[in-house]
Amino acid sequence: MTLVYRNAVGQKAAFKSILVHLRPVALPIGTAIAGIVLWEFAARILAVREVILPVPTGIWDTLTRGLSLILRHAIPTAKEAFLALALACLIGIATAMVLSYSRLLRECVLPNLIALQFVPKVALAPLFIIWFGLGTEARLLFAVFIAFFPVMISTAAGLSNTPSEYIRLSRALNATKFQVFKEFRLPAAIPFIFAGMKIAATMTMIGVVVGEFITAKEGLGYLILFASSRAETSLIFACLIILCAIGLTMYGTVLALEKLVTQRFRIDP
Amino acid sequence: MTVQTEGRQVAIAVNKVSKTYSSGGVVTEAVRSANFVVNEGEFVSILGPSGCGKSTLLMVVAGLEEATSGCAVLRGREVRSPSTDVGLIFQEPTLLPWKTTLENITLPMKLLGKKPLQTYIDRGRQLMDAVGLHGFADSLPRQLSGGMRQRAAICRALINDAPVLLMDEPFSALDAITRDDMNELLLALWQQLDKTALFITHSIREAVFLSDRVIVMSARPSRITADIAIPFSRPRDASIQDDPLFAKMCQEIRGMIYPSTSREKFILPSTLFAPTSQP
Repeated sequence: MTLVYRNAVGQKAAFKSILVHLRPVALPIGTAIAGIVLWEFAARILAVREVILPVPTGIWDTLTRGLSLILRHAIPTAKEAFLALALACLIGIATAMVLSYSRLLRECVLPNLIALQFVPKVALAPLFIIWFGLGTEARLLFAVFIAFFPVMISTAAGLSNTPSEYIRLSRALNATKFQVFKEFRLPAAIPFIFAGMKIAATMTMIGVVVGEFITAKEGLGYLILFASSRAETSLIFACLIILCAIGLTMYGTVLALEKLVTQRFRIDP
Repeated sequence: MTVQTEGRQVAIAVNKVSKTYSSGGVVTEAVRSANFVVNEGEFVSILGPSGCGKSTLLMVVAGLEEATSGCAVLRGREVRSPSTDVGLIFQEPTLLPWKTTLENITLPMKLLGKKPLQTYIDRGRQLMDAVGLHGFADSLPRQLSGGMRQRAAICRALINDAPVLLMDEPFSALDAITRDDMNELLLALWQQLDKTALFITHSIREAVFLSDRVIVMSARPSRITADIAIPFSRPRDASIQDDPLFAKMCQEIRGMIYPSTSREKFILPSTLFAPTSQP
């Protein structure tokens, strides 16, 4: 009797623990599905014209039927976005390291870099076309330009915010400037660096799409403009879905990299 | 410039060290003209109320703070920067969270570029065994208790076999029971080593238990008010705390820190909670 009772309790507890673990995934996905269902019924009941707001099933239909066309345009977009993110991270981290190493350089350059951020960066996109033409380079560099700044600022903040007791220890142990950087400042900055990279992942998508709006003959940004000119609203939404998927993949890549690095360097997340 | 006193060499000389901080026009005098010596092989405690500048004094000796006037001399050389002759233990263990316990302990040797590092890894393991950290070499600091972390910090201070140990209230962040443990651990280690120690504390018992001499500092502006020899012979063990002389020493020193004339009485007015008549 007792054994049966215990088993029942155990099962109940196990079920409860599964629920608790699923909660952070199940709740947002459930909410999203509910929203989409609501959208479908509301659009049908209110008889909204398809040009204004297509129903989700219609968008799915467009997506599956036009998949080869959409993917053809998605590939250059994804390539540019990933490459831009990688370059933005490399340049951002490298710039921050150089700035953290030289106080003189930091005092000369950093305030200007910050001042530069007050220019609405999207407004500079046409300049990139003048400088780099209508090809991939202009879009890529524009996306890098938009995305590198958060990486640089976070990394610089991380490198200069090393807890003071670690710095005191490094001095007591007669560490060289390079050792202070390698053994103390850089590991302490890693969470900051990844925070910057996560912001950069979303910024690169903005950069690439804006670049495609104004230059391209290919890419999802171009396809959206094309669809808009022909009032194919459901194609716009289909492109947005793929853009979201690319953005999520980039974010996921950054998260995976973060996990890898924090485990390797045993940093408390 | 080696100075001889009573046949023993001076390991640490603090010559009229004063330290003032000024920030925003407010000048704080942390230490006023501190003057004392610590002989080779001596264990000396600096005892004083919290905030009396005794830690500042230690940081000057360690070369991590600059004296406003006066100087500290370590083994015949004026202190200008941190010396490899010193093993330093802070109030907090200050272990790097991204290194294992053993990596933290051998860090000083790695930074000094001492080769082969394996020698020091072996030494680190032996030190860990001796302080009761056997089996925790690959644990991360966050997996250790507060007392274990401070044990690791002690190992790190000992790894270079530096002749001078400077300790800045190393056990004051620990609970009372762990603290007693750590005192016995430090006493036992100390008596097996041939080192000079300067130990900062605000615990009278701790100072008497561990030291050959106790230097008493007053509250701000801190000056040295007494320099007391502790008459217990070495090697000692925990049992000296039961000696009536131990209690007497503690009492005597307490009297020096808080002279009875300046003791506050903390008396509540008898009418404080008296019922008031309603208007």
